[in-house]
Amino acid sequence: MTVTIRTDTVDIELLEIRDFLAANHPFDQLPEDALAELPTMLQVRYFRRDTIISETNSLESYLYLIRTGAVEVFNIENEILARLGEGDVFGYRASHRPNQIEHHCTALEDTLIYQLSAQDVDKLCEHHTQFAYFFSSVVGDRLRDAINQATQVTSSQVNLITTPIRELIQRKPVTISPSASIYETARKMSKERVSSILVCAKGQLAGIVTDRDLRNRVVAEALDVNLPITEIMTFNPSSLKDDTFAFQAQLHMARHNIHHLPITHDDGIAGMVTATDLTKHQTTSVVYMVSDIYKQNKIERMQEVANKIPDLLVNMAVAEASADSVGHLITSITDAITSRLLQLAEERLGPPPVRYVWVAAGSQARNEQTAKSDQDNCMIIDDAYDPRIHADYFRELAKFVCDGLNACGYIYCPGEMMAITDKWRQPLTVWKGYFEKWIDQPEPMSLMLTSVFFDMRRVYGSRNLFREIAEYALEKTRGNRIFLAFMAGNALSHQPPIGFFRNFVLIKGGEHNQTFDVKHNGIVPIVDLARVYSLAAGSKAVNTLDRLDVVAEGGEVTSEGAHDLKDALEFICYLRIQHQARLIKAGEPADNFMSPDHLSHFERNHLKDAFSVVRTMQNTLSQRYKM
Amino acid sequence: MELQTLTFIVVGLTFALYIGIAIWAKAGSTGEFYAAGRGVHPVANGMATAADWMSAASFISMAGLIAFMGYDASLFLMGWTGGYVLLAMLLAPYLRKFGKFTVPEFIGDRYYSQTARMVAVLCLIVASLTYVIGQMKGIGVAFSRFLELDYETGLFIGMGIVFVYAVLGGMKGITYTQIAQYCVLIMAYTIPAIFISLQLTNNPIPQMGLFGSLSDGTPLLARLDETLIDLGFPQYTAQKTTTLNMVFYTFSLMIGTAGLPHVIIRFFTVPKVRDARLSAGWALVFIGILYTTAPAVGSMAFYNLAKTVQPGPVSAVDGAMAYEARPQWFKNWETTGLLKFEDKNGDGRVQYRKGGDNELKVDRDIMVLANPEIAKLPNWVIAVVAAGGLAAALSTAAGLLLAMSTAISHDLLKGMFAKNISEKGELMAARISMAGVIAIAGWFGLHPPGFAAQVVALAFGLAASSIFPALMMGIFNKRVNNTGAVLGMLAGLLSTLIYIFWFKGWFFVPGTEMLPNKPENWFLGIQPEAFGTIGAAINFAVAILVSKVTKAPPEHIQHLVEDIRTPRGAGAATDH
Amino acid sequence: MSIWKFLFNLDERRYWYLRKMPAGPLREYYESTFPTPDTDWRQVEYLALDFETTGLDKDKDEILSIGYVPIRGQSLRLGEADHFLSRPVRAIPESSAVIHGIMDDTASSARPLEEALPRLLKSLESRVLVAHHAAVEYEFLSKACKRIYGYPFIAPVVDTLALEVRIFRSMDKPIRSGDLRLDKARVRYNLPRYPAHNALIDAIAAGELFLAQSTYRKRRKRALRLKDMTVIT
Repeated sequence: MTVTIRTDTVDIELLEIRDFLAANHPFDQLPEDALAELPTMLQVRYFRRDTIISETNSLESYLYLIRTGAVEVFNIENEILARLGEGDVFGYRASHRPNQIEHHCTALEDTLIYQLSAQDVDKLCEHHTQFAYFFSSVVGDRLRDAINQATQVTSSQVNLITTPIRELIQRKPVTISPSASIYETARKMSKERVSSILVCAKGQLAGIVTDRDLRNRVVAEALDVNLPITEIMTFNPSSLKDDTFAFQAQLHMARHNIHHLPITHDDGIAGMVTATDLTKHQTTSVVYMVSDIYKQNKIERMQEVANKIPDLLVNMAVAEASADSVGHLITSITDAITSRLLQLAEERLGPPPVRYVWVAAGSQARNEQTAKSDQDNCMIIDDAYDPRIHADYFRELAKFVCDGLNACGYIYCPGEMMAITDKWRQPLTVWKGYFEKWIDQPEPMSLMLTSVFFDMRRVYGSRNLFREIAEYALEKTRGNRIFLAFMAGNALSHQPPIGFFRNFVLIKGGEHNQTFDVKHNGIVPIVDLARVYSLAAGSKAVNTLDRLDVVAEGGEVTSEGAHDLKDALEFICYLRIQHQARLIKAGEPADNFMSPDHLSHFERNHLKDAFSVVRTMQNTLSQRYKM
Repeated sequence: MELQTLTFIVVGLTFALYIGIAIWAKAGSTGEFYAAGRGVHPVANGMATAADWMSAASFISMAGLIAFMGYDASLFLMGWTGGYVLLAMLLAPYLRKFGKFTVPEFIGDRYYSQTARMVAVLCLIVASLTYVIGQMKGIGVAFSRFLELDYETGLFIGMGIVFVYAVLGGMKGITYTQIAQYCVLIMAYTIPAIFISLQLTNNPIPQMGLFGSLSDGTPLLARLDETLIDLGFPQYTAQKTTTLNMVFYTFSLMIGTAGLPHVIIRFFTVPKVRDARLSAGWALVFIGILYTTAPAVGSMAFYNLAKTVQPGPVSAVDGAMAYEARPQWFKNWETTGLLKFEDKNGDGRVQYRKGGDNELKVDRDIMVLANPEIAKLPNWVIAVVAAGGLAAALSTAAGLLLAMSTAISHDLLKGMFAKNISEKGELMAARISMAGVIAIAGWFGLHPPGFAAQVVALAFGLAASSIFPALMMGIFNKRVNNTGAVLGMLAGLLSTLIYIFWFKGWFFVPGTEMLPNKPENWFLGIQPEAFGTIGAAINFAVAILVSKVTKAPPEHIQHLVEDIRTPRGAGAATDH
Repeated sequence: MSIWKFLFNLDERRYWYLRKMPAGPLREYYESTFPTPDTDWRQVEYLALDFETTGLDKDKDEILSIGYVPIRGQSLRLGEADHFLSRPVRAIPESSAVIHGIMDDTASSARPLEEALPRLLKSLESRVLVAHHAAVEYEFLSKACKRIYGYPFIAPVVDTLALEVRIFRSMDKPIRSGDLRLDKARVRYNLPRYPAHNALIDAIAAGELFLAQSTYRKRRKRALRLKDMTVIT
């Protein structure tokens, strides 16, 4: 006898299982009624750790969904294809990649599995195209891809974050030679139906002409249309490289109040992106926030904007944006606030008497801020600086900006590494002296300062000043193995919280009992490692992922090692963002103390892998520099 | 309390101390980010450097050498001390300015040549290896004695402990552990020396006791000479080789030691140049304490030994000690196999003589450890000496092994043969090479002394004739280019090698000697072990000549050399 | 009673009842044979069962809801799961209502136990009863059968709680209070956390726990047999 379930009861009773299905891809693609029915098609199985799963049922006859635990999938050569965790599917039609035929799998942990027969899968696919789509395309569930998956932008809200600008280019660039007349230009624009045209000489961008230029500079002025186009074009328009993220392009346009943005690549012009191209894609709140900041004249209003950062973090965490893009986004807000404060300060105090550059240090420099952090910044002034005459101006300027940042929630740096401190607001020569002293006498205090000030990025002010100090520092460190050894020793002072037996080493007692400090023991070690590699390679890169890319090419670390570190960093940061978002949602202040209890088995395992990678790299470094 | 139990307790306590300090230091280092700590005081760093420098060779072997070689052994004292001074004063400051961590790095960059770098790496590995052999021997002696085992087993146990100690590696580099090791070591060395000096001469300071008089008024050294001559040995305080040979030998040792990697690093772990100089000075003081005590320990130990086995006059039949009546320490050392009695004339007495009728074989490395027993000092003193010997051997062995395994895994393997080795592979290679080095050192420790002594000679000769001149010219002569340097190194190296093989057999194969290894055959009376100095001179000459006739080094290298020598930035770093 | 059980095994007792049993759902149940204790445990079908009751006293309290799911070939067949309410004779005491959330007005629309029981017995045919702390289900069911059909209910039974005790003992682990609760036991096997006190969810929970426990009892030289699992055979 078969007992059918009365639908009225199932809705309530198997809700637990239904909810789980609804939360996981591809079942989330099913409509409500199909979801309600789905649990009754399932069989539940349990596999002990290290046992073979496809023992009695071959992988072709069922689709498996992991309820708890973790599973490793192998191909016929016994090479591991994927490490799957809670909510992942495998088996029937789940993997269609050539050379990645799932052959057998084993339970990595004690695992509870829901299985759905092949016939039922086929039936569901027949009726639900979206569900079927999952099985038709290549959707690997390898857990190396876990990060990719997690960071795939699922909401259109933030997909500008991860999209490189080149993907928004609609067509080949429409260009015209500088020798053309205004008339010819206008003809070409209307023929090509474009609102702007690029003026190019020998493949290089010379200028840009827009509809508005034709209106304002030609028609309104009643200019002779036979004049060369160079009469009215905008020379050397600002452009961006084609690998810039779309949101950065949007920020750029918002900031400079332009609507047409030429995009370049290595060998010339790649195309043009207009404000409309960008708004076709959902605009992000970040862009609004930044353009908002540039409109503000009062600190109180900027404060309001800054107060939205936690919400933004939560949004991005929900959208599972990659940690890298979150870092870039949040930092771009900090940059915007800093720049706007400096603009306001200059308006108030008058233009600067000598050149200066405002430099961000630490995580802001690396584009790695998350929830609001301390401010780390400094000011480098031209050597023409005369303390008797100019000291007041720059003190006021720095005070205005640092106070403003503090008001916006970027609290004063406890180590006083801010431009408001006299020591960190000095002319170039003094700064060179600082670097020389730190490098020649790497005492603990110097090392701490170098780890902050070697991560520097210009935010506002003279590019040349910044380049001089950055190049000076690099030149001093390049090949200086003794200094690098001290840096290496310093990089080893924070160790991943993992014990000899791959157990988590947790803080005992106190406010943060049974947690670990994901910042100091998870992220800082990787950031420190990347800094040492990067200095040894003499690279200018500041962002940790960029640094790892550069050093892998230079051979300071193997590309495999760099890749592993990047993955580890991305995963740890991703967990931290999720953790902070969880706290913010609960109305608590964001912190860095994570408890392994809040992680799934899969996450815990993967985190341990990440920590092991860091430990291996630290050991190698310590051996090389004998510290 | 039983001696063995006591030894276990004392050794255990010292190890607990080192580990405790290591843990404490580790816990302290992960402090608050902004609470930047202060550096180590120069005096403390000087002690740590001294612990690094003073190996089992210094602790165990040197006094033994002095005991049996007498005045001639002073060249070891001078050579090794001189090597340290050379290192501290001449090399370390310039390497530091050049920003280089090791000698091969300096040579590779200064002569813009990978070949030069590899030659340096290989020479240093061989030189370090011989040093490790010395440590292994010392550890083997110490373990076999206080575990009351034969020497081989003691050595194997020692190898295991050194491996674990070096692989864990954590204690190395922690300055405070090194300081503790120095304190244990120096106490272990001086306490028995003070006791014995008091016993023999009534003077508590061994350095003065050596030149003091015995209770009957005769000076100690005079009595020692007398005793030795009675036994048929050459006079203790007399020079037995030519002055030129002694000078050259000393020089060879000096310049051969100067490039040893584990001590150079010590000068770079101090952030400030001024502090580095100060701690180098202090280290010299701390090393001096042991080195000046060594002659006293050696001579008094030998005097005590001779008095024990030959209590009466040599002419008297019952002057020699009866084997049946041998004291307990004699029996203990017999079990280790390092003290052997063979009753050649069958009279049941121990005749200790120079030449063929000698019936007692004494391994000279037992002198320091056996000294307190022979002098009938309390058991706790003996236990402390055991702990000191281990401290000396372990601290140096671990440091050297780490430096060598890195040289093999990073410089040789990753730098030359397997450029794409992964980080994990590099770590593994380091472990394997460390085990390999320990195994090789252990093998040499098991097959002393002839072969090991030859290799030691070779190693110091090679280092002296190849690396030292290259370093000096690298710093002081900007005209020397890579061709000159490489050819110079090869010339120095080959001439030294050939000279050594000439008298010791090609590749040490017995019977292939070109001339018997005797003073009358030696060139200018210089023994093969001392030829490194000549090799160095050849190196200098060839390098400078070749460089003169070939292209000058690139502009930036010349600037660099000038830069190193001119003091720079001394006052520029402004303090705020 | 205990001598009776000792002298006659389960199947013999089934025959005994069958001899004098009048026609009806219980007789139909007894006509199908019990799985024999010597069969490989994997060949046997099970029914994971859970009751929500008005209390724990089998003489006074009543069954409010029944949930079960069959286990065949080491997998829980959710498609054959069932859950239904039964109307109690007396009012539901508040103390139990707060646990299972079944209110008088919900329960009053359900059918009486007399109508629900045949369905349950049908599902139990030739199967082994699985429950966590099975004594409750077993005794309530037996009591209900006695009241309605005049004869007690017997069946081979797997008690996951008793299995858990065996596993603890075999590992020499001390059992602390609460260790044996269904949710605590499930955590040890990395099973998901379910909301408790719904008969079907609890039945599924017990079924999954049984699957988990059985994998942990596998490592033996000889294949496990049914009698290695059951508490009543």
